[in-house]
Amino acid sequence: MGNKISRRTFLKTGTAFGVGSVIGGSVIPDLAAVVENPREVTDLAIVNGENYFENTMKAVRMLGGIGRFNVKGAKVAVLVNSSFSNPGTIVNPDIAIAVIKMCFDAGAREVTGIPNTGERYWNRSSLAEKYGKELEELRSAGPYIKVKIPGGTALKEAEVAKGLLDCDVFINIPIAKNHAGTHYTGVLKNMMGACPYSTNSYFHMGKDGKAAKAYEDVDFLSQCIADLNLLRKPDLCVVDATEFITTNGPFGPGKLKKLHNIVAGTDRVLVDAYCCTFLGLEAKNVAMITMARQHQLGSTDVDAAKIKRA
Amino acid sequence: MKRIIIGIFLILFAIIGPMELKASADQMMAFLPKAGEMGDWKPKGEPQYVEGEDLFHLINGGAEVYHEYGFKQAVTVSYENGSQSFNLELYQMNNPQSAYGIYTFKTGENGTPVQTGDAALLEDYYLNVRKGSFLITVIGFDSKPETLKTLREAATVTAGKIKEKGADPEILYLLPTEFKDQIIKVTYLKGNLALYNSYEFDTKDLFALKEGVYVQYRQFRLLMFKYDDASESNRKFQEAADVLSTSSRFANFKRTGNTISMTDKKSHSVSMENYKRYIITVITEPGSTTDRAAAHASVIKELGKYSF
Repeated sequence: MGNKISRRTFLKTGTAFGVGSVIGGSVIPDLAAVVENPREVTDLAIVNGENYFENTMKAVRMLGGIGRFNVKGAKVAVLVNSSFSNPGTIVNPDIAIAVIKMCFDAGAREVTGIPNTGERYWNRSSLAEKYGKELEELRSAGPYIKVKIPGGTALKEAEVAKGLLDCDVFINIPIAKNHAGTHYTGVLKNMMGACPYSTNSYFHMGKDGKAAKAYEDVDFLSQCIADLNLLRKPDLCVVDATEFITTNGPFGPGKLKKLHNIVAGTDRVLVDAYCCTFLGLEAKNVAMITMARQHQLGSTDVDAAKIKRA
Repeated sequence: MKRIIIGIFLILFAIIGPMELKASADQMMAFLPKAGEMGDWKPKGEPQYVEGEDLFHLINGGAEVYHEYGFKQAVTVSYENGSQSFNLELYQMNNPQSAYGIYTFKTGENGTPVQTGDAALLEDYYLNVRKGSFLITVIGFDSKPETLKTLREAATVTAGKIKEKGADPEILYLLPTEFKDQIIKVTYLKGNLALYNSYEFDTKDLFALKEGVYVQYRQFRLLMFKYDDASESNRKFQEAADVLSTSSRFANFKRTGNTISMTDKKSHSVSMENYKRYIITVITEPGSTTDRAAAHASVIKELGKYSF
């Protein structure tokens, strides 16, 4: 009872799955999940607890498993917020290692780390030695390539890491934290991690492109971030909402909030709309989130989202 | 002959320019604690030095607020003692008032004052100190007593090497004396980014703010923006009032001459007035025992004592 499906349903689902694979960035759960839970779709998976490595894997399983994202035989890019060193400003490396391990275990052909992250970051994790082989196999982000951004309102072109442009599967791994310019940084803003200084400084310089005098044109920065996200939709977002700064972002040091949450989802706007509440914000007041929604990059309707918690 | 003289000047400039730059970088390095000055702590790796716009390379989007306050150069370095580590950041701002400003921006309402530099505050796992035109930030990776003791020591050693004296922004002397014992926190503002992080009127730079102060008192909050002259402040006030009158962020908007009142999304009562070359804003919490109008009137009365 409940698990048996008709031949018609099986064929329909199989065809839909095949089409989804061709399109790429699959939004259809893998077959096993469909067969087991034909009506269940999870928009946001939230796992709470202090074993961040295991909880990351759990959160992805709650979305249907890494296999859902067509990782097998694929070129995967993981965009990890890893550039700083102050507490609560970068993704806990246990989380990134969990994602990378899942990808390799699922048969990824290669995994590219963006930006290029060295030992100094990975060695902050007690798991770095255990998964040293996987970390050694990480590919370089490659050079930056200038690309046009069709539909960009403020940002018409950008330089982006080749590894992001070339990949079959893109996994965005930000930390949810305070940012002095946008009040919040998460999935959408993390895309800046795939761009060089020359592109990112343009975001901060304001509409007239003048340096030094006007810090900061929040609307312009927010629009550039929304525009940048037109380039590539992440197939999976895994947000570090474990321990993060609520003041003096993005660099810190600042007040630390410890929620021990991992949040995973496939709708980047929805994920940010949910995670910004950790900073006491509402999505409608975070300009880059509303601008991304205006670009039809996702939904801000957290109330309507199917949320699974563990 | 003329060409020779110009050529000599260019050569001298090419030599002296970089030499001046190097002297500044060397001076910054000289302020850092050296091996042996703090027991078994010693620098780990090479310090990272940046100046001007290159601060972005060091701290990305965090650089903007430093530039707003007026930034010159910075150096960061990690220290280790074999089992633990901490980071030290030394920023030189354009002047002591800029250092005062960035210090007030970075520090919170709580924390433990530390007797070093011109002012210092220890919060959780980090310590900020301002001394002259410098800001020192020392960051540990936990809040254990021995870590905090190390942070204090590192800050004291560094601040002790800086001889420059601090100076408070003049605008602080205009704050009403009636409420000075009720001050929780003062944030000196040098632009819209600091204002946006203190009280959010809008994402846009409504006030073209160049200098101001945000004061949190026990019962109300005060914002004071300073302009070059009364006509500039009046123009900015009217422009801002036009925007605020239709803003979805505020309700119950009322405008009479050079004053406005409104309620924000958190039901705070807000009154704003253009007074001479200042724009004064008073914000009270819902249910506050302080009468907003009375607090506002007190501020204006205090300002009236000064001629400008």
